[in-house]
Amino acid sequence: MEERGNSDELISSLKRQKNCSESSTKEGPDWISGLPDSVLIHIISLLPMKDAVKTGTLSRRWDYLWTSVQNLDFRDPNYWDEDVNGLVDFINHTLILYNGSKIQKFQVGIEFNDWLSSHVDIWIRFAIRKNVEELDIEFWGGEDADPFDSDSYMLPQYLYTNSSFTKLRLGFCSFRPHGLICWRSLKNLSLACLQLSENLIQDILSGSPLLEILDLNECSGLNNLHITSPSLKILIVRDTCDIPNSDLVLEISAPNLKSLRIVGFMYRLCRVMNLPSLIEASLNFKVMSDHEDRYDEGYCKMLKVILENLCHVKDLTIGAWCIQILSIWEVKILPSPSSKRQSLTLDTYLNKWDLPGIASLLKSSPDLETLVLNRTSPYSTQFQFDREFLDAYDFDGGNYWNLQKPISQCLLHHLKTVKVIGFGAGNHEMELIQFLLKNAMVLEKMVIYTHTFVHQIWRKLFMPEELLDIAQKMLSFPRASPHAVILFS
Amino acid sequence: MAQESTGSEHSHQVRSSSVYLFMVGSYLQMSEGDMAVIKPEAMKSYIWLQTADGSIQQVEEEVAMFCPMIRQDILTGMGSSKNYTISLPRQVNPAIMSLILDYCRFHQVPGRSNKERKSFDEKFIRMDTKRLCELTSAADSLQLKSLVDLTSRVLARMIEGRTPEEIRETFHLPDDLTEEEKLEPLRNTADDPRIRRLNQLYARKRKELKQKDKLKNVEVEEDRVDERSVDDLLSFINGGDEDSKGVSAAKHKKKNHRRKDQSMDSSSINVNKNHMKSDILSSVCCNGDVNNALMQSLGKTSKVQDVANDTFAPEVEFDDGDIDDELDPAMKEELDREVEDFARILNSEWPERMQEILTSGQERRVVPMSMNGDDSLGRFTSANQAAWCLSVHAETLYQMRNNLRSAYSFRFFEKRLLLRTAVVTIQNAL
Repeated sequence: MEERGNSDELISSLKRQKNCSESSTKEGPDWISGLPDSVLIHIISLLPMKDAVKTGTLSRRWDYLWTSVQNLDFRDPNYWDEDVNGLVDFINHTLILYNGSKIQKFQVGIEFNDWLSSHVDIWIRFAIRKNVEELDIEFWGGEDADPFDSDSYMLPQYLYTNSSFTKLRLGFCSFRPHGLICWRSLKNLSLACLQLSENLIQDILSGSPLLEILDLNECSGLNNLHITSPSLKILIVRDTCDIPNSDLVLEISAPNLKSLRIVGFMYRLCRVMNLPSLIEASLNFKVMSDHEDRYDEGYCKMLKVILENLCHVKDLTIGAWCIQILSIWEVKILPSPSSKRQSLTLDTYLNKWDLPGIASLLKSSPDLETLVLNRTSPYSTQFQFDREFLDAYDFDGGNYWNLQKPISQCLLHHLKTVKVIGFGAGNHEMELIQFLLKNAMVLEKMVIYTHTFVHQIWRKLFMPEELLDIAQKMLSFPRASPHAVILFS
Repeated sequence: MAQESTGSEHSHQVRSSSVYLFMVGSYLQMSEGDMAVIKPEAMKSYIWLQTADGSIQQVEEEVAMFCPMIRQDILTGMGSSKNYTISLPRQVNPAIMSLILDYCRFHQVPGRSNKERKSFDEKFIRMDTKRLCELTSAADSLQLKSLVDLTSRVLARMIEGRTPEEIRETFHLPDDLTEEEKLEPLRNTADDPRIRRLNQLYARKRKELKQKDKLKNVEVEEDRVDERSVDDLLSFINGGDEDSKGVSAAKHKKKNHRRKDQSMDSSSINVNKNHMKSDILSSVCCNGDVNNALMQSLGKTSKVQDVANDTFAPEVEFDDGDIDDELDPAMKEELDREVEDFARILNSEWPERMQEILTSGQERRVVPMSMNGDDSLGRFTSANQAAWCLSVHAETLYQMRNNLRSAYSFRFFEKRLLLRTAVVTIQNAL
C-alpha cells in the first residue's frame, strides 16, 4: 500500500472530519457490526481477496468472517510481476485458512513461471473440491513467454470433465484434453490466447450442452466455426492470432445463434453464413493481411457477402474499418445490399472517409429506427487508403451531406431516435446532425452525450458555456419533424 | 382519504399520490372514520403493516408484494385490515420503512429500463453510514435481496482499498484484537516495505541473469523478427481495448502472446502489457522518490523521440496514467506519413543521438548490452533502454508499419516500449 500512501492519508483525514461532524470518535456506536453474519460475509465477498483477508484484522466481530466467503478473487490490477512469490504465498495461506464449504467464484491472475505449475494444480483441485461454479485462471507471460509451447501451464485433465462449472475462463495455458470434454452445467466459456482447432471446438460444444456464451479471444487455429449447438446464443470472436494467410477464410455458421460479434484484428478473411436466428451482430474488426498489394477488392467483396448474409439482423454495430470499406463501395457507386435492420450503431470517430459508408448504410436500411454514433468505442481502427485511391475518388467532406441525393428511405419513414455518444462538436458531426435533423421526418428524439470514455473514466468534454453555444446552434438547425426533441446529457 | 374505484389511469395516479401524501402527512395512523370511506370494491387493495414500535402503516398491495417476506404473509391472508396487520421485524423502524417502500415502489413497476433503475439506485443510496447499515439490516430481515445487494456494494466500496485503521475509523469498530490474533496472511508479502524491496531486488537480479543468457542467443534470432513483432504490436493495441462495461473492477488486460514458430529478441518487444496499465504508472508516480526518476527518464526518452523526429506530434504522452488507447484521429492521418520519416531518421541519426545521451545526465545503472552490429554503442544507462530499443528495431518497426498499414499501431508500440523501459528504470532505481 506504499504507493497509495498519499491518497490514503487524504481520504482518511477526510473521513475523520466527516466522522467528527457525526459526533462520534472511535467510541461511537458500531453500526455495521450489528448486521448479521450472512450480510457481513456477503459484503466481504464483494471485495478482492486482499481486502477480504484484511477485514479479519478489524475487530473481534470480523475475525475469521472472511473464511466463509464464497468468492475468492485473487486478481489484482496493480499486480507487479515481482510479487509472484508473494502472491503464491498469499493464495496458499488463504486457502489453508479458508473455512467455507462451497466456493462460488475462484479467480486467479498470475504471471506464469515454470515452478508455478504444482501450485496452480493444488489451487484448481481445491476449488473443484469445493464445487466451484465460476473458475477463472488467467496467466500472462513474462518477458519471453510463449503460450504456444509446452512451457505454459498444462491444464489438469480432471478439469475437462467437471459438472459444477457454470462459467469458465482460461487464459494463456495449454488446452489439450486427452479424452472427451464434459462440462454439463457450463453456460459461459471464455478462452483467451489458447491454441485451438476445429475438432477441439466441436468437442467443447458437444460436451457442453448448456453453453450459451462462447468468447474466443486471441486464439489460434480457428478456421471454421460451424456450430450446430442448439444452446449457443452469443459468439464473440476477438483478434484471432494466426499467421496472416489470405487464402484461408474464417467461416462462421451457427443456426441458433442470437448474437455474433467479430471484433478486433482478424488474420483471415471472414465469412458468415447460415445464421437465421441472429438478432444482433457486431462487425468491429479489421483484417490484417500479409500482402502489400491493394486488397480493396477482396475486402469489399468479403464485406458485401457478410452484409448480405446479415441482412435480416435487427441490430447491427459496425466499426470504422468496415464503414470505410463500404465507403470504397459507395464512391465507386456500387449498390449496397439492402437490409431489414432497425438499429444501427456506428463505432467510429467519424472521419471524412466514413461519410460515404454511412450514407451507404443509411440507404440500405430502409426500416431503420435507431441510429447511434458511438465515438468512444475503442475498436475504431481505420482503413489504410491507398494514395491512388484517395486521389481518384476524393471528395469534399465538408459538403458531403448537402450533396446527398436521393434521401434514404429510413429518414423519411422510420428513423425515430438518434444518439451521439462522445460528441465532440466537430464539423463532421455537426453536419451529420444537421443533415439528419433536416431530413428525418418522424424523428422523435436526438440525444447527445457529451462525455467521452477515455482512460477508463468518463470525462466531460465541454465547459457549460461551450455547451450552451453548441446547444443553441443545434437548436437553430431546421427540423423536418415537428416532434423532434434534442436532449443533451 | 379519497378512494375512487374507477379504472382510469388518471384517477389511479391521483389515488396513489393521495395515499402517499396522506402517509407522509399523518405519519401512518388511520382513523376509524377513514376506514368507512373505503369501498370494498376498490380497484387497488392495501396492506397493513406494523413496525416494531407499534405504528401502523398502509401500503399499496403491489408495492408490499415486492418484499418477499411481506409477500408470504399476504398470501396467507394477513395484512388485509387494520386488525390483522403484518408485523415487521424489529430491524425495521418507520423511517427506514418509508425508504424501503420508496425503493419497492420504484422497482416494482415492470416497465422501467435498466438505466432508469440504476440511476434511481445511485441516487437512492446516498445517505450516511448509520442509515446505510440500518437499511441493510432492514432489507435483510425483509429478504429484499436486491436492496441488500445494493447496500452491500456500497459498504464494500467503503472498505475496499482502505487500511484496517481507516475502516475502523469509518465504522467505529473497536480495535479489540491482540497483535497475534490479527492473523494476516498478507503480512508476509506485499505490505511490508522491506519485504517488497527485497522482492524487487531479487526480481531485478533474476532479470539481469535472464538477460545475460538471452543476449547470447540474440544474434541467432535477429533475422526472424518480423511476423512476431506484427502480432505483438497488435496484441498491445488490444491491450486497452477490453470490452468493458464502464469502470468495472476487473481491468484485466494482461495478455502477452507469442507466435509458435518464432522466438523473440530480448527485452524490448516482449513487453508485458500489464506494465502498460495506467494504474501501475500512476501508482508508481505517486511514490515521491520514484517520481523524479520517472520524470527524468521519461523526459530523456521523449526528448530523444522529439529530437529524432520533429514532425512527430509532440503530444504529451507521459502524464500520469495518460496511456491513451484512443488516438486523436487528427493525428492518425499525419502519422501515416510521419512514421516513415521517423523510422528513417531514427536509423540514420541514431549513433549521434546515443552519444549525446550517454554524455549527459543520469548514470543510474549500467546494464551491459550489445547488439549485433551495434557494438560501438557500448554500455548504456538503463534510462536509455528505450532509445536503444528504438534504434535496434527501427528497421523492423518500419517493416511492421508496412505490414500493418497502420501508422498509429506503430505509435502505440513505441509508446508502450518507452513506458516499459521507463518502468524498468524505476524498478532499477528503487
